[in-house]
Amino acid sequence: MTSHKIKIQNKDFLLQRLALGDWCKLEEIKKEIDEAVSKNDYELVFSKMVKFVETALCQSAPIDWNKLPWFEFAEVYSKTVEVNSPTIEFPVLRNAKSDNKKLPWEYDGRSWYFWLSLFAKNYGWRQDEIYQLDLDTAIGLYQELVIDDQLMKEFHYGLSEIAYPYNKGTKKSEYKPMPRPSWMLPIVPTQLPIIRMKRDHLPVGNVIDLQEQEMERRAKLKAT
Amino acid sequence: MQNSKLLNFVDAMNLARLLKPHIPKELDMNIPYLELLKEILDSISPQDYYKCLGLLTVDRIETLTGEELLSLFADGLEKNRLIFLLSFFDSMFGAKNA
Repeated sequence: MTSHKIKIQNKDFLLQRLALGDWCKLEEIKKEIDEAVSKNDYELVFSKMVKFVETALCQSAPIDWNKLPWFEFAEVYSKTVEVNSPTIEFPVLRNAKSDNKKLPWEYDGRSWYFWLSLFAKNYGWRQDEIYQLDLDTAIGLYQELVIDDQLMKEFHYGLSEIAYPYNKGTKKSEYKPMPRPSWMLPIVPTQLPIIRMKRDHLPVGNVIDLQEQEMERRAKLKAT
Repeated sequence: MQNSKLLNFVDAMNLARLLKPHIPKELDMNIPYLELLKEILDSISPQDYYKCLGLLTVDRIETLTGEELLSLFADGLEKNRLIFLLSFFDSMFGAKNA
């Protein structure tokens, strides 16, 4: 567990990067903050944000959060979020969208049981070992497990008939790869490479460069 | 001259909620403070103005002159980092208040 020094009301405090088990508590508080935000209840939002900060803060003396100017409090909160965020840009977190729809099997504190079940099942680790994991390690391992699972599924899929649908046009069965999650798809280069073309390969007449329009279209698609 | 106070989180959010209808929809973070203040003063209702003043000071505002109130209002908003406050409020409660 690493600590970061932070100044609140001119006193030094230590902000901790929490281990996975405690980090899950932060995730639960984040959900409570979101709920309070959706109700526009500023007092409740504030009390939940204080709870969030205090979960990660080593307090040597009590802090009267009500006396702290709002921008100082906002800074402490955002620092707490930053310290307890993944430090690696994991592809599995790329374009991760949450539609905030509550699943029927959802319950308070599920986040911890998800990680516990995942690592206990796959690696046979004990609860205390999983509890002490760093967030980066947990997400990295999670991604590896998802990749293994996807590749295994693709292998089984390739052995089945469903992978070779009949094409009436060519009168042949053609291999149709199993769809992959968006973060496993090849990365589209943001800048298209410039290739020299032979003069006789160039089209005749006015040439309209659609590269810019294509980039705009991709940017729009990405934004939606 | 009356002194404005630094607001805590809850009071600051209440202030931002009162000011939000009187600022441009797309807030430019580089907008000069005085320009934004003028825009607010041009459109804010007397009720909202007094509510903001009530948040910005602990003292009684009834005895103050119009000029003193204006100076308290301008000083309070600047002290509480108005532009940062509005953008923070937008990022936190923006979707709900859109």
